[in-house]
Amino acid sequence: MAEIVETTESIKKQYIVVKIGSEQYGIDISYVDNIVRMQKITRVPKVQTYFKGILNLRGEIVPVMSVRRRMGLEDDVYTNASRIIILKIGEQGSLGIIVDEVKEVVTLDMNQIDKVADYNKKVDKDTFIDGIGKNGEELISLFDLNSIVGEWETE
Amino acid sequence: MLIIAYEEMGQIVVYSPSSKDKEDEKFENDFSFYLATEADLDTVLNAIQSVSEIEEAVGEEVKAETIFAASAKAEEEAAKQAPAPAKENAPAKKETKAAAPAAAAKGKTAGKPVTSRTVRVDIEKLDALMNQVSELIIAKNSLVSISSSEGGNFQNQSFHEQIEYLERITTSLHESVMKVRMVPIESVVNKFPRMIRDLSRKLNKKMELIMSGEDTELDRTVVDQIGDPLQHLLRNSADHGLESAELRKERGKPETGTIRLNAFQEGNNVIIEVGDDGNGIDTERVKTKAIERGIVTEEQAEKLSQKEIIDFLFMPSFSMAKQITDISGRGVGLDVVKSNIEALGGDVDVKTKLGEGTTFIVRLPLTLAIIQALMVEIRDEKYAIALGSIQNIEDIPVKDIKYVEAKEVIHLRGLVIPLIRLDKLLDSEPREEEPESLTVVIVKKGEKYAGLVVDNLMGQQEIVIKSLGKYINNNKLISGATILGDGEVALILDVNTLM
Repeated sequence: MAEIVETTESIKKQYIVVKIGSEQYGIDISYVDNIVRMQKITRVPKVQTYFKGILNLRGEIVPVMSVRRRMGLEDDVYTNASRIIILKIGEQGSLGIIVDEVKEVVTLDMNQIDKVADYNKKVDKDTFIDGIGKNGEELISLFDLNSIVGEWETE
Repeated sequence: MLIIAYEEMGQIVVYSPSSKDKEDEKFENDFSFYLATEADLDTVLNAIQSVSEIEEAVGEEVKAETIFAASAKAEEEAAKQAPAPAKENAPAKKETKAAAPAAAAKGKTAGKPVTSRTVRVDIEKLDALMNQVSELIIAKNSLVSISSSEGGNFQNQSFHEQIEYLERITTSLHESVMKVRMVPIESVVNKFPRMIRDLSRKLNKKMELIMSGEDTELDRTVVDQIGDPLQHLLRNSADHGLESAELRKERGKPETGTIRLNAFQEGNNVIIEVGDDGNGIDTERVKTKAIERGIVTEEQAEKLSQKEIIDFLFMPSFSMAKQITDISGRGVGLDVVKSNIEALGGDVDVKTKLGEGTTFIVRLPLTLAIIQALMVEIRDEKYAIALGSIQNIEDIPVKDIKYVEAKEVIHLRGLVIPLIRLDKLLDSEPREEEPESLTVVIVKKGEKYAGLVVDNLMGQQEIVIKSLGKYINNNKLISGATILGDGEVALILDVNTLM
């Protein structure tokens, strides 16, 4: 165990800090392809409720997901600060998620991150967080992107 | 197909019949070649054997010098005596004498190369070309929408003429690019009726093959590789699916079993269904077999869904045949079918009902397609309906709607056509007032008709089908999306699933 801690200590990761509701969330920057302003989203009927629809990103069709709906929060209210973050995850292609506001980019050292399993042994199956980053006084919930996009099959 | 596999291993030095003949399917039951490779003989032979059409592969190792020496002699006789040296002789269907094809191979090397009027092009280059064409079409569409919307400035007649000209050019350019890649599956399925007749004789079962949709076109690469899996599924149907004549009589089915092969395009997929009216898959037996083979424990097996059980059939070396025949039972089969089809980006689905038959549904993607579509409006949303499935468009007064089993139908020129309210189906906002007359797009699927109620017709347009991606699942109602001239996204309705 001690060894593992040592090897991960030097790894730094960059996260984009976004606001959803009153909480701050971090998205691993290596998955982020693009951040775009709110634009017209075409509704697709009969899909999972948390999919807002699709948008045209420079000739490419990108599905857009509402993280709020995905997490069971109240529906999005679009403001001037609302953004769509375009993620590229593995082979699956692009996916957009709607956030209330994009704040900044932070660099977190591995020892600034608490794994969810560390403080909450009874890991909730529905969690979309895989860690908590401590940036000074602020806490940033780090998204587990795979669990956000991963469960689409079983829905 | 075979050649592709070998070329991964080494270089083919000499072969017979020539590759051109092979592509034209001019060879009969056997062929042979010399392969310069670093892999050892067994690896090569195994690779050959894994191609299901090959019945047997014979091979020998030989030093390069011997080949050159042998081909230098060039006379057939000499070759025959130099006893079939460096040769992977892979006779499909029947075992043939080794020496003769080897000799033939040597004869060819001396002959002059045949001049051909074709060019081999890397598929990737065609892909790039295709992408550019679709970009061009999107750009053209936006020009069209500008010219029709801006009024005043563009009322210039020659401008319109030029736009129309551009439209014609892009349409025909697109068609040509598509045609370069597309071939009807006919070339593959044509050999199946004969195969079924052979099987019928061999298995002593009466059966007939009904094929439809042979003219369905698919990408050349897909067509090349779809033959094997389809052939396998047909053999499966013939051998495992159909019952013996006595059993069929007992069950009150016609003595002659029916195997169907049906191909059609559905949105940006091509569906090929291989079905039979035989026994269906006995999931209980599959379950027992799986337990026997230790794949699952008994408790686990109890919890499995029907689909999970059927999935066992796609596992490597899982065979349900009670005895091994030369048609099936070797346990190499559905797993290969599945992996072949998945390699093409498609998938296989099984529908089965015990006692009534099984249908394997092979879904293959049309990677990129551009279709003619009718754009319609439902509330403020735009949808595209493939022109190919549209029969006609009618204005129907609301008072002409009749009810059959509480469902809305219209009676049109002797046909009773069910109405589908797209707004309800697509969860659109309800309309405040019902208008006096409805715009109904009559679509046709096979012999079935349906009337789709839309709010507005926007006109015909050439659209580029884009996939919605893997994240969204929507009951196949929407087969894709397209980008309109003004950058807006419209969804493509899949008529086949609506009916």
